[in-house]
Amino acid sequence: MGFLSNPKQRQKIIDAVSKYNNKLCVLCYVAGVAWFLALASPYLNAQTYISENALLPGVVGNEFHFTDFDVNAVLKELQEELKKDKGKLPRDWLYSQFRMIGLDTYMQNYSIKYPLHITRGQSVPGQNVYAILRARRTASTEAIVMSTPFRPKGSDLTQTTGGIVLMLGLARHFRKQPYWSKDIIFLVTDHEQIGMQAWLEGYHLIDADYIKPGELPGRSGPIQAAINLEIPSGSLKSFDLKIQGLNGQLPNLDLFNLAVKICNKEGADVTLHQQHNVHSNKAWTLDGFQHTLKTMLKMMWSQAMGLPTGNHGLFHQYHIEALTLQGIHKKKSGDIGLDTTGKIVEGIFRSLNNLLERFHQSFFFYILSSTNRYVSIGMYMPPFGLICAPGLIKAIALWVGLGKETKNKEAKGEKGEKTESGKEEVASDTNDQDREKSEEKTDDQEAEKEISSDEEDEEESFHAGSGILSTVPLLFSSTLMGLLCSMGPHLLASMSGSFRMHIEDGIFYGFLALFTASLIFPKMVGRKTSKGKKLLFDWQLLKCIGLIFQSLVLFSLSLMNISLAFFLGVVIIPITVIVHPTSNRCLLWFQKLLLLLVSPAVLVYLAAMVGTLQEEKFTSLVTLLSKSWANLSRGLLLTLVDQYFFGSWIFIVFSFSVLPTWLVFWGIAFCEPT
Amino acid sequence: MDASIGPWHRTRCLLYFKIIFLFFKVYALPDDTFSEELLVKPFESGQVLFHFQFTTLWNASTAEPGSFTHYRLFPKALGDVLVKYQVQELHLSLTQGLWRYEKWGYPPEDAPPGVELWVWFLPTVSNIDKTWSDLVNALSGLFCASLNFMDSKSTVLPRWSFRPMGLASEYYSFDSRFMRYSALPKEIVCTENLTPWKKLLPCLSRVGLATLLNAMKLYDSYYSSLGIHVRPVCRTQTCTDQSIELKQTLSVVFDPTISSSGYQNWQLRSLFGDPLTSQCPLASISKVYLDKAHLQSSDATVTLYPEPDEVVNFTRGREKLTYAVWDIGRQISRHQQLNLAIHYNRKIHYGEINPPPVYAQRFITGFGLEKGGITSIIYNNLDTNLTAIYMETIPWFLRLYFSSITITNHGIVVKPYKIHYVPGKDRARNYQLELVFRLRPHSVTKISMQFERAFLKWTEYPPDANHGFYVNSAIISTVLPDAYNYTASPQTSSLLGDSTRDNSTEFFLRLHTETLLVSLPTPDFSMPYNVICLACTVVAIVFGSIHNLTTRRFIAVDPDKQVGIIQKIKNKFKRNKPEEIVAELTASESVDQKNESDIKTKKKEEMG
Repeated sequence: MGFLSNPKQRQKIIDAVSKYNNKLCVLCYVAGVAWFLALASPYLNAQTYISENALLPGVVGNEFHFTDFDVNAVLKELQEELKKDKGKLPRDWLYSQFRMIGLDTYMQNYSIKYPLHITRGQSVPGQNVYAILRARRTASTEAIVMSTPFRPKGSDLTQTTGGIVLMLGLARHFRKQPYWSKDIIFLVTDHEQIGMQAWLEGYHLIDADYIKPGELPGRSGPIQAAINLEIPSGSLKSFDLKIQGLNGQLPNLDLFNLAVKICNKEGADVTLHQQHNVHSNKAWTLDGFQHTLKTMLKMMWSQAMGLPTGNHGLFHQYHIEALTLQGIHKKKSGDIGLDTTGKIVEGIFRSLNNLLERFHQSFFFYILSSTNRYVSIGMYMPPFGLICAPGLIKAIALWVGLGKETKNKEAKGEKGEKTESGKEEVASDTNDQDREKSEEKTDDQEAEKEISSDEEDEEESFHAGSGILSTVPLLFSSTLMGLLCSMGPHLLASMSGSFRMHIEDGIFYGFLALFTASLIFPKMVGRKTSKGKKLLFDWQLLKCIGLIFQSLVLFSLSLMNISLAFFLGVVIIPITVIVHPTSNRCLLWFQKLLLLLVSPAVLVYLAAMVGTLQEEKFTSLVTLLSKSWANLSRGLLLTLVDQYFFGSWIFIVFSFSVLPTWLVFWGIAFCEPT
Repeated sequence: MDASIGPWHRTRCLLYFKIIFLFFKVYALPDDTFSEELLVKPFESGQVLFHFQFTTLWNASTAEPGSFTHYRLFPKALGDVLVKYQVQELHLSLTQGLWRYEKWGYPPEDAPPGVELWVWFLPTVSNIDKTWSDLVNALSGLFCASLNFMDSKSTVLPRWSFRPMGLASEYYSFDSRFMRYSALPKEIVCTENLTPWKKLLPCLSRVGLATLLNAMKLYDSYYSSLGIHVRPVCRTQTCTDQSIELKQTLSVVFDPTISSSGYQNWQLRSLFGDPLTSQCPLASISKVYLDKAHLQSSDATVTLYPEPDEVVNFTRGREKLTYAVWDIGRQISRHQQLNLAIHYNRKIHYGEINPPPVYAQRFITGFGLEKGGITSIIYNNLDTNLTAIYMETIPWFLRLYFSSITITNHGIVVKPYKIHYVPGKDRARNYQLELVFRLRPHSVTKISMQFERAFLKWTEYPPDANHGFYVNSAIISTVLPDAYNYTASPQTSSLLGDSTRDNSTEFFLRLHTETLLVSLPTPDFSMPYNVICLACTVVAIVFGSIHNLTTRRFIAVDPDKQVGIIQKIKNKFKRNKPEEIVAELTASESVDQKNESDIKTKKKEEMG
């Protein structure tokens, strides 16, 4: 730490960084990406283990079987009830079934008011059925939830009739057992995630704008954990565990490990994103690595989307650990019957019942490369730091370069250039740190606050010097674009009606228009120079600010959703570090093309393409492109609806941090080279 | 010699003995009575309540310590405590599970989950707080419960919710200074509390109804509550003298449908392990009552074994009730045992259950660890207005916002008649709130309040910090005009059987709501170790340089100035050579000056 007190040594380090910055950047980036991907290898990740002792998974024998309960008859009855009215769900039948078992059965009515005038102000009604098994000896102070989405006959998604029948069977079995110390809530929701959100809001008595939860007639204590079942009828081949929740939140690793362990105990195959584990003797080979890498990237991709992969995903924001157990049904093969599935669920619930405290022992931030290997936050942060390092190194180099430039010019005695004195440099340095701090704070908070603080910063920088002052218009206009983008949906939706456009199209094309407008904004802000319209900014300073802000965004994002931060970082960082104004036309156009490739709009399109590829096999490029295009417009609307319904912040992040930063770099490409 | 003692002599001896015995009997004419009763109530939901009540009446008063000298039926262990701490009334309950009002109606003795104790002290007690803490410690030992945690932090003085249940002057009963209330919602009740409770019975658990109290069975139930209630009552109709009444109650709820596969059938042997084979010889009344209200309404044919000795039809309020009564003594003399049993001819059908007139639901609202709320929903199914008192005691670490307390009825704000609010103090006192307001007919009243979760000191967290912290039940007190689902014995009498002769028109009701479990922001307790390691490392690395930077003096020296010889020598002895730094500083200063001058020239140029 000598360099802190010894200016000479400090200077040496700074000199080294600024001298070899390009090489350092490349080294850091390549090493970071390689390291991060190598985390999928068993050399670098670790074996999962149960951290919470109280869980005692699989210590007791699972004894569930369908006693005095004819599964097939009930299943048939349910399917006939479903057939009766295709659009409607037989909730009353379900209600009476739960009641017959002797549980406290209730129905919750709720109504959905769609945002953005999607249903033209009309509200859609919904109903959830739930039953509470009161634990014998406790005073309803804690609860565990077992839930299943209820899907009508005509639904595109796989039926969950198996799950519902299983739930009825389990309720019957559970009621007879004396060992329960937590109430068990059996919950059947409709309208998929909306129904679940309505129930959760009702349970916690939260007033929401778009989903109006009706009164819940009965309640239990705080929910400790939830298992969502998506089990089709018939024999199953394997189970898939879905963990990703809203905004990329994950359940505690202990819960995942518990589910895996119990499945293994019952001899059922368990997968993650439909990817089987590599056989133990293949794990240390290259093939094995490729397989685990694919699993890890699939898991990360799904987390980066920030959408819940199942109904469990909405529990996380209430600090309830939850996951979905999905039964994979394949024709011909499959030997896991409903009773084995029941034994698995029973095992999980008995372990959860043992919990003395909330889940807190194990990791909340992790990446999985298979069902039994994990990468914890401590392991993935260093490579991620390396990936982001080029941005900071370049920023330092630019800053130092700015200082040197002035010094050199001093020495030569040149006149008429923008200069900054050493003292002021120090002052602005601290200013920058202040800005960093303030931005860190605001990043977690609402976006509106962010703007105001940005404006404050701009006011601060007013005094700092003409250098920073010169960048203010560009920073301001890019933030303004972000603001427009975030406010866009409402405006566009209200306008699309008068244009006789479908709301989905209205919003989609509106955003395209906004994006195009932001593409030509450098032209609007630019001033006329001898070589046509150019931006007369101190581009080095601007880039420095842009890079620092970008690193800040990525680092804070990585603390909440590492996958999103990783994918963004990997794509954006090399290009933003390279970008600089040049008089070479070819190079300039190449840069602009690269920048366009990493623009938010194209990124989202690329994401839609990957999503389409995951859904169906690749046939031809044209169909892929067109399908992705359709998916994109639908996905955009869904993301917006998620924001209003569930509080997803993906759209906000894109409009308030990704778009403005990108615009800054876009502006740099239009600057006058020095 | 032997012959002299003839048969006459023997009879004479016997006569003497008899006379002496008779004299003794007259002298010690029992001034106390004991009765054992059991009330059985099958519910629509399939469960069955067994409420045991053992009542001891004694012509004594805690106000006259002299009367507590010769114990017969009254337990000495408890009597000594009552006299020593000058207790007027004492109500203690130890409960496992939650009474489900919606399904089961009202219990004969209401109790919250965990432990609840409320005591009225005699007005002669000088330092009530001190006496309370001593009493609590004494009771703690007596009942093997952690009552000693009822310290000043968790004790309150309710103003309106609690009144003396027994004999008391009006002046006294409106003065809550003599009263203390406390509850421990976290307390787990089990065998170790039952055993000392049984030891207070005059027949212990060897004979009589108490033989049924098998801990293994009692604590495998849906609800079980022990109670001790001591109060002064009138000795005679004219009420010139006081007696002391000790009611030991035990309520237990079983679900026979589970063991008898869907049928509601049960018998004492299956539920308690043994049938009843004896009667407590000290008891003046030994009876079993069965409330037939549900049996009559259900459409199944129900058979009772054995036939009841008596069937009593009576009206209480406007409610028509029927009790089947068995006299234990008579049954045992006839059949050697009483194995009470009910047989249904068909399986139970779970239908909609008519809830009692007034019941409540209470829960935690919101999420996150910063703020939260408590909401209570009170249902009034009667067609009359009711005045209710709502009492809430909230631990200090949930900092209640007084301004957020609202009472609404279907969206309309209800203005409370009276509010009694004692703000909490960190680590010293709980928040206490009492509200008096009106419950409109056929309506749902919602009381909600917001709180902020405090961050505790790290030593204040219990070992299971992530489990959460318990909040006491709220208490709702009101007076019902009708006895629908009401099972408590009348306030003016001591026995359960007296409810058949109850002709009162108002029924006092006290409800206990759910206890709550609240999570507080909890640090990761394995963290301190990591933090200490990390912090030490950082300090070790940074300390030297920071110390160096902050303590060293930087002096600007003019390099042109001649340095004296002595100074040069001094500098040589110094470890760090200050010249270099000084030189650099001056260099940068000169740069600064140049810069400034440069800017000035530039500005001038621009101006020009």
